[in-house]
Amino acid sequence: MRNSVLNKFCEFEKKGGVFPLLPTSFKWIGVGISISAIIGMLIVYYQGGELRLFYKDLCMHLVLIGLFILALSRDKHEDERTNQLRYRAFAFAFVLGTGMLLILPFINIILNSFYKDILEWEYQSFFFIMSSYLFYYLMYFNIFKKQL
Amino acid sequence: MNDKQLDKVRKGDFLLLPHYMKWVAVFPVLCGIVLFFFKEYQHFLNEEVATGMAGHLILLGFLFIIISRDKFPDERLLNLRHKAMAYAFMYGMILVIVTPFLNFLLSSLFRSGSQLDFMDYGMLSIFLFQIMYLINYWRFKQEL
Amino acid sequence: MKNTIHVQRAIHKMTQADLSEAIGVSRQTINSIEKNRYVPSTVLALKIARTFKVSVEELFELEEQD
Repeated sequence: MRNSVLNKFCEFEKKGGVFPLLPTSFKWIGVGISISAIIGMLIVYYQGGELRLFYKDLCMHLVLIGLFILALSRDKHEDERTNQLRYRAFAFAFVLGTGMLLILPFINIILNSFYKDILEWEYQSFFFIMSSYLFYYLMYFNIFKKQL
Repeated sequence: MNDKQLDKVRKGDFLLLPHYMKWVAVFPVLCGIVLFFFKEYQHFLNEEVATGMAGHLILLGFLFIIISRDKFPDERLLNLRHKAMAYAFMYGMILVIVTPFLNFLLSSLFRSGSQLDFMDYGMLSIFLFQIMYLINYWRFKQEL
Repeated sequence: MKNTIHVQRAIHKMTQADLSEAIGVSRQTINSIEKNRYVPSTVLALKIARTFKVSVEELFELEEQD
């Protein structure tokens, strides 16, 4: 076990380091990937074709990957304060995102029951969940950086 | 965000419920489990709604457990809590992003036509996040 | 918590940027410590104290409500 990759990673966790962050330049790569994926989605939407559904899913996944790279990339000046703010922003995104997603279907049901007879259960899609997490994270990280 | 909220964030003590909520949380989880196993015997909700609702109740219960305070909350525990959430977020995210490609690899090995499957995990991924948080928090409390 | 980093900086004729460079953090961090928005870790507090050649107690002080 000694000197194995896993052991090194445990050491890294103990030191309280942030995750293995990517260099700052990856921020723009992440933005580029997500924007081009969104453009790709629009093209697929208007072009159509047999494999339309597949390409739509692929583009959505690419948006997620782009946002994830954006969330992982290092700040210009990374120090213990940004480190802590990052953790807090993650915690906020985690709790608020989960809470919102769990409450949404119940609200839907209540709203539906006013003007529909049939009860329906709406599953939130995977893309919606993940992107809302990532957006929450990015939003709170920026708010905290400015205000804390 | 207003000043009061920011002050709470500054102290690291935000969005948390009192300690006894940990035991209240058992109630929705139990309801969910009961609803899941007895959905065929009731005629109040149709089956699809009952399944969805059961899953949601269980997830909601776990969320209560996650955000209820410890018995003696102090600076270290709050810090560990945030760290565990961040790590859960990260591991969950990586898993979720890698899975379709893993699927692709496996299906290309075992099936004739290779295809990229994007299954709709949805609720399952939230459950994954929550479980990972609980494991990480427990582990950090032991180790750090 | 009160702090006297602002005063110490004036004594040593350092700007926030100078101090941040000396201890290897960003300028915003120094700014939010001075404004009492961020509580530095012990390591960081000790580094600041060493830069000014004073004790930590002289830099940071507990208040009644803490």
